[in-house]
Amino acid sequence: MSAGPLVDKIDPFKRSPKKKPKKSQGSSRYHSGSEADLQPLPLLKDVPAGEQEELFIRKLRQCCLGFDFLDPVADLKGKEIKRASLTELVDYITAGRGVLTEPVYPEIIRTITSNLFRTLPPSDNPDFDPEEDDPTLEASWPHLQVIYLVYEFFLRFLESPDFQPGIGKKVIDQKFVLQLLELFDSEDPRERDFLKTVLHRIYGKFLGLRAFIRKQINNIFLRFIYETEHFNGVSELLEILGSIINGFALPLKLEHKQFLVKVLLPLHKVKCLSLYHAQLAYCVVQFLEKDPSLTEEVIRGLLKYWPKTCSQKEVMFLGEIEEILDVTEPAQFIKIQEPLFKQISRCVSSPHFQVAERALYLWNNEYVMSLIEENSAAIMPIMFPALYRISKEHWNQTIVALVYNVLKTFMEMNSKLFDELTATYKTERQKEKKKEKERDELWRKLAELEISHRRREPSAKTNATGGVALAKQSPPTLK
Amino acid sequence: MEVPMDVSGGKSSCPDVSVLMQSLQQALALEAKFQPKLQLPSTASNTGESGEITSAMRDGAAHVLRCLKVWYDLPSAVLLDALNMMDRFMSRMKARPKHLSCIAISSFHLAACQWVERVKKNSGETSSISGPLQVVPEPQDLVTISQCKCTAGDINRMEKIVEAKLACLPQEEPVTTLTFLNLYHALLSTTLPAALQPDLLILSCKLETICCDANYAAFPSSVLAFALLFVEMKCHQTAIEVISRDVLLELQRLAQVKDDMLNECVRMVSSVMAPYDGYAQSNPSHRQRLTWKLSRRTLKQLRPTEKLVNVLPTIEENRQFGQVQKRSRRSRLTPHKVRPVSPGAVLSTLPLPFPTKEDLTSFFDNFVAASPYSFRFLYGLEEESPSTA
Repeated sequence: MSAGPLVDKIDPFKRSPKKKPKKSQGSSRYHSGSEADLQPLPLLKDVPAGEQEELFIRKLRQCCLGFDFLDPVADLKGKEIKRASLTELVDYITAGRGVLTEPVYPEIIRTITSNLFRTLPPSDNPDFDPEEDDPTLEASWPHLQVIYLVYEFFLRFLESPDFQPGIGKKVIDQKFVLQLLELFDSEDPRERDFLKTVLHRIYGKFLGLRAFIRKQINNIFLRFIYETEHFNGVSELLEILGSIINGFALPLKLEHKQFLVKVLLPLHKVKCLSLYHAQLAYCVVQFLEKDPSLTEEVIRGLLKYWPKTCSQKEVMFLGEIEEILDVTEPAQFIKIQEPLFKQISRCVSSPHFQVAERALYLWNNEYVMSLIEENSAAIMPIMFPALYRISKEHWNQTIVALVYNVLKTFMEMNSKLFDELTATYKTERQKEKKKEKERDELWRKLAELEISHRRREPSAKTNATGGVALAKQSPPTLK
Repeated sequence: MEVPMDVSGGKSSCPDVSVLMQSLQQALALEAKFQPKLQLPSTASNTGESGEITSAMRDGAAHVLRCLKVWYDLPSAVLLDALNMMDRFMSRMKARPKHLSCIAISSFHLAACQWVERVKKNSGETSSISGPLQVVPEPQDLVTISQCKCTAGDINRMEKIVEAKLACLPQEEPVTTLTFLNLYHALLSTTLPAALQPDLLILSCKLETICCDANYAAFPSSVLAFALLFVEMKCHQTAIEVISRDVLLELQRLAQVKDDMLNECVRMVSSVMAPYDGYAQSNPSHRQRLTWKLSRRTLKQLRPTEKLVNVLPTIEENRQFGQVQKRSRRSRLTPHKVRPVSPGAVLSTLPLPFPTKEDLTSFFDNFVAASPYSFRFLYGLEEESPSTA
């Protein structure tokens, strides 16, 4: 500071003598000064029809002004004017006909942009657990009221019978949509709900934007899966996608199939799956109803991402499997029955009772039962050993009772196969036990041999005989 | 658990033909005493408590016992003894359908106890006990697993009634079709080479299946066992060897089996075995109506899409979305496949498509079988609520 102006220019840390205005932490930017701008305007219904468009635009411009809602007493009059204006505009757009003239469109978009588009504040609670904690809502209620009014207004605008996509597409462009998508990360669930409906309508009406929107959603999801594992709007976006998938034309485009395999399936592996599993499962099932030939890929994908340490997720996966099986055609079922039931038999053997319970409960689904019945020769041998073993070993009595149900069902399905499997299982168990006994016997003999060998020659190496004997033994089999 | 091979009254497959012959004569002498004379109606004349037990009901109970036998790793002898006792009891007493499950389970328990006693006695005669000692399942456990709606106390009481009615002596082993089957098989193994001998385990399984059909009681045990042997050997030897044919004829003479009765029995056996050998499903009327109890935690989240209440309207590809659309409930929008409940299905099913938790809880709480196959006997009138884990 004491050096000359030359040094000042190159010193990056020199603070500007001017004090920077304090940046607002809330999402509303406040308008410095001029309350004079916000004069109360006459009501739209009070002016003649010819002047309504101009008044409408003036009101819209008024509503572009932001207020500092962190300070509850500042600009009370202005805030009230804005709020009342917005309420009036919502009604005006809903009731009126011919109010959406071409000049009005860019003004509306400007109002939306200035009110809604903002950088979302960083989370107050970085350890926010979406399942446990309540979402933090921004600033204060009056501010939210305004925000929601703006959304409501936007929605009515899009849904108005007078809305013309031809004019709208000049102002609702890719840049707008991109900013809209970023807002989906808001922590406010009501805001996300509005955004969901808004984006749904935009997608519906602007065919030219559809590919772009899909691509951007893909990007968001992929970033979520592979980089951040954090995004608050996954379930809302999936809900929109559900309605899109439902409307796919047949035959399905390759792009859509790739989306299923490269985006929807990997979404299953994220830790916070429970937040959006309902919507995700819905999307997957919709895909399969559209194109059943995708069943094999879907099930193999789920098996690939099958949770190995999180039991709650396993229960969710099993629920999804049942929903998928409900829409699986018999020809598709045959392709995946073996790997699927191998996984199910592992689930049934799980020491976590909820996983075992959910897996066993599949047998109470009549359609799944009919699929199993048709293919009992392939499925029973896979399930039988696990079931038989659990009937004797499981700690939970509810599980044991369910296992009885399944075994009884199998017996009724195919008695002969059931008897054969019982006999095979018993003989194999006997063989195993015999082997175990032999192995124990061998180790015992080895131990004795070693002791006697050591006694005779304490200095000599004891490994020689042991090494030879070990080579003779068959390698232990993994259970 | 390992179970030693079927041991019927200590008669092992020792090749002493004279001993076997003697046992056969003794068995034939006692045959009539242990012969059930089932006279069950084939259809229910009047359902409900005052109705009669039909043969279909009896068969259903027999299949439950068969499953329990596998469940508890018990030998065929226990099952056949149990069926024998149950059938003899029902030959003498006109029981009501609601008691059938109790009768069946008590007979099973009784048979298991008697069998264990015999094994203990026999192994007591020899110095070493091979394999783990068989444990008789507890009545409470039997009641829970088989889902019959009676208590352990009921089982104990019924057991005493059955014992008294049949005048069972504890040491006396009932002479059942299995007794004869074992004897015949032992006799065959003394004369036939091993290649021609039928497998006893497979035969026992088939015998169990036959005895689960009420028609078996129309024939004497000795005839039935022989008929099964006959059918089995004939099926498995495309050109029946001269040796085995002669041996069979000799056996038939020893067992005093008449030709006409044998033919009739063979017909019955073939008709029962045909679906079994064809890996077919069992008769729907024999299927047990099962209760599926779940913990509340699992009931809350059965299917992921249950949580979806409102779904956004469909956006058709290549077409613009309509002007005014209301959000609608899922069931109207998604063409979800609703599968009709087939009339013959006796398996317990959930109401379709997506029941709420309240639906499920009340469904399980108020479960009463209303099936035309009258399986209420297995479920009585008590209500059970789903257990909490």
